[in-house]
Parts: sequence; C-alpha cells; structure tokens
Amino acid sequence: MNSRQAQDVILRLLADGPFRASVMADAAAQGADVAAVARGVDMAALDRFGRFLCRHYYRERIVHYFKYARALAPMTDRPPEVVLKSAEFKALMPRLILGERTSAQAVADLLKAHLTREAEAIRAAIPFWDDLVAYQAVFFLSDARPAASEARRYPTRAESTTLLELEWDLPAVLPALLRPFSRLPMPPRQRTRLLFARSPEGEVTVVRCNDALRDLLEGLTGDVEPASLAARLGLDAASLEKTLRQLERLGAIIAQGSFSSSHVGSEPADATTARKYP
Amino acid sequence: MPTEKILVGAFYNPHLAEETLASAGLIDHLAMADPPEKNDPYFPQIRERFVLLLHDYIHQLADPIPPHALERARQLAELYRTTWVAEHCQCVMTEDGRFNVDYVFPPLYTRQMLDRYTENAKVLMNALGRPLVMEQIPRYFRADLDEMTEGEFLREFFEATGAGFLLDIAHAWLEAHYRGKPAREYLNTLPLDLATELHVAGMTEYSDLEGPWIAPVEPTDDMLDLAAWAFERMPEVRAVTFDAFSTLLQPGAIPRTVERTRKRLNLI
Repeated sequence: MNSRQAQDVILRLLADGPFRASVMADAAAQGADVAAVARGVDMAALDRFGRFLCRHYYRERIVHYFKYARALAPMTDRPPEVVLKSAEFKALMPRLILGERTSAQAVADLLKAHLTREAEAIRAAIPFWDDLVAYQAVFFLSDARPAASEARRYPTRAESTTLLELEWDLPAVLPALLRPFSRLPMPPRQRTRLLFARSPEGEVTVVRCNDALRDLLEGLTGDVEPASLAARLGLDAASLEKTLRQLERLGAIIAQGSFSSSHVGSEPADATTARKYP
Repeated sequence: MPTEKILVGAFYNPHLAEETLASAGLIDHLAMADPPEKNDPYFPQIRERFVLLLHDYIHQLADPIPPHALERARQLAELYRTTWVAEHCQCVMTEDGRFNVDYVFPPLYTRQMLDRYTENAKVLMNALGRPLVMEQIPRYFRADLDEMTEGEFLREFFEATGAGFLLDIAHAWLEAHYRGKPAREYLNTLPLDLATELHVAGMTEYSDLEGPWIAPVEPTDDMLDLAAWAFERMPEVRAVTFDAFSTLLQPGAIPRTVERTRKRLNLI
C-alpha cells in the first residue's frame, strides 16, 4: 500500500463511523493494509477527532440548509443546531457516514422531530412552519451523496432528485425571512411543487416543477427511449432533448450519451424554466 | 522584517459586512473563503474598498485538479483581482471521492505525497497565472506513517514550486501542543523565511477533542505574542490576516482583532 492509499484509509476512518468502530474492535479483520494503518495511528485520538468532524460536518449543513429555522429561532425558541448536542445525536454518531444519504436521512429525521414535535404554538405564529421544515429537510438531504447506481440504457431520474409538495408558496417569501422584520412575512397559501436536484459536483438546485415536468420525471425510468416518452407525453422531440439536457446539468437525471438523434437548438422547454432559490 | 507596506486584514464574513465596510480604514484586505452570494448587497462595495485574496477550497493538491475546479478558481481569481491564491496543505477526500471529511486535514508527509503536491501545484499556478501560497494544517492525532517532518515537507514543496508559505500561527501552536513540544521550538522547524502571509486566529476547548482547537474567536494576547515572534522571522511576509470565517463570529471581533494585531506587530 502506498502513502496515498494509507491516507485514504485514515480519511475513511475519520468519515465512516461504523468502519472506525469495526477497526477499533478488530483491525486485522479489515485486512492487512488497514491493520497496518491502524497500528501506525493513535486510534483513540483518531476516534475523538472523528466525532469532532462528524459534529462539525452536520453543523455546517444545518447552518446552511436550515438557515430559515435559525433566523426564526427568536420566535420559535428552537434553533435547529441544538440537535447536535442532544443525547439522540450522540447515540447516532457511531452509525453515521459523512456525506452518505442514509446517514443524512437519519439526521434529517432528528431535526424534523426536534422542530415539529409539540409545535402547536409555533404553527399558530408561523402557519407555514411545517412546509418550511420540510423544505429545509429536503434541501439538507439533497446535499448528501446518492448511492452508486447501475448504468441504464436511457435517461433516468437521479436517486437524489426529490419532488416536494407544499401548501404554501414558500419561494416567494424565503429571502424576506432572512431580513429583519416587524411582521412575519407571509407566503401566498397556494399549492406549490418544487424539484430538488443535486449536481455531480454537489450543488443543490431548487426549481418550481409544473405537472408536465413531474410527468416527465416520473416517466424517466431508464427503460424508456426518449422518443417514445416524448410521444407518450405529447412533447416535441427537440424540446424534450433540450429539457433533458437542462435536467442533466442540474443533476436531476442521469443519462448515458446522447438523448436522441434529433437536432438541438429548439426553443427552451417551459417545463424547466429554472430559478434557483437560496 | 520587510520594509514595504504589509497588509493587515481579515476574512469576509457576509453577516458582518456593514461593520467591515465601516472599518475600511483599519482593514486593508479581506480573504474570501466562499464566493459571494448572488444576492449579497454589500459585495460590490466590498470589492471596491478592499484588496481581496482568494482563499477558497480549490482542490486538494494530493490529486490532479479537475478542469471544472481550475475554471472555478480562475473565475474567482478574476472576480477578486487577487494578488495571490491560497490553498491548504490538506488531503480531505479519498481518491475515489467516496469519503470526504469536509474539513481541513493534512496529508501524510511522504516523498510520494510531496511529488503529487508539487506536480499539481505547478498545474494550478500555470492555469491561474498568479502566485500560490499554501497554508499548513495541524494534525490532532499521532500518525507514525510520515517519512519526513511537516517542516521538511513544506520547505521542499515551496522550493520546488516557488509557492509561498502561509503560516497559520494557531495551527502551528496546535501542532506543537498535540506533539508535546514548545510552540517556538516547533515554529523554528517551519520555513518562516519563505512566508508570504501570516494568519492569526483564536482557539477554544472542544469536548469531543478533550482539548483546544481552532475556533472563530479572537486570539489571546499570548497567541498574538507568538505571532509577533514568528513575524520577526518572516522577511518576505506581505499580509497578516485574522483567520475567522463563521456565522458564529460575533460583531466587533474583526475590528478589535485587526487593531490588536496592528498594535502587537507594530503595523499602525
């Protein structure tokens, strides 16, 4: 094993709680290379640093993705980051793998429970509170790396892509929640659907999603040729191709090679008139 | 100690933008750890009033830098009109991209790593056409897998690439602390003569670590004394920066620390 590979073992020990626990219990069971690295480091100190990194990792993401809940904490008395000091989070830490989606889901569940449990008084003051928590939780989850997926013949919806149905049109009010206000900014009570997508570089984008885009995403199973899908949905093939390319750039779909043999350069598809939200 | 004007500044913390702008006479430069938000109303003024230094995560120099990371760095360097570009002596992500600690963490100090850092740094410098400085990163736990000391690794890297040293004084203190060495003795092993920039920073106790670590707080007087000691041994230094970038950073911390740093280092 060379030193770059040894570095990777150390990084996995720091980022992967279950792996670290198994190495601390029996390093030899993980193979000679891992055992050699484990012998060369102070594992007890590495374990402490791993826990420190875990708390730091999720704190950074809570600060970023739950910023609206943080801004409203003077009204709710529930700053989301206090979850990281809870007994529940401490118990969860050994099972967490930084950046992994199942781990992010477990932390998101803790956050949602903390913010919405016995929250009637909060809902009375902030009627869109449940939508806001759901929005932030999906954003938080979308940051996580999806599991490796099998290559499909045709474009398919990415595992990290999420559609969220809301009772309130939150994007209309989000920036105002971060500014000082004397009266709580209220979004229109209007059913809203949002698409969350994660690019291969890890950038999360949120765009409004109309029925046409939803139908398209639901039809992208990886087994359907785009031309057939276009015909089924009554879409122009060239517009569909452009839409698929936009969705691929956002990370909403995974494609293998070209989408079709049709030309490019058609008008933008209405379905993906994209706008990013903070 | 150098004779030309030495910049004294801090990191750009958007939640403290108004206070930062009001301290424009005190603060010469701002290090940019994140790109400005698209809706940051203060950034245009910030860009006009301060020297900006690119201090973002570009890519770990342990591995080849992908084209999109180079392009992003190029765009940021142009936006900031940065005098030099800073990267960290870190390796935080596995080669396959599967595990990422998303926090500064140093590489093993080996010949193989040094070769990789040197090669990738040269690519970065060529792509950006600007000087590079690299900041040293402390290691919390003992790892007997190194082939050379941190100081040897850094000196060879800087001599091979022509990059400058960004000495973070709190990082050096922590490295010495967790190795059980006096800080000044440890600093003497680092290439202070090749330093371009000096970071001053604060620390706090962390229960997970059962000890101190970097924190977005003001440096103690002892830390500034140590910084002043190192500063006297840095003939090429051109900037001193209060390294604190966090929404936890409290109002007043930046102007107070910049003022204290100026006084302690005689950079009034």
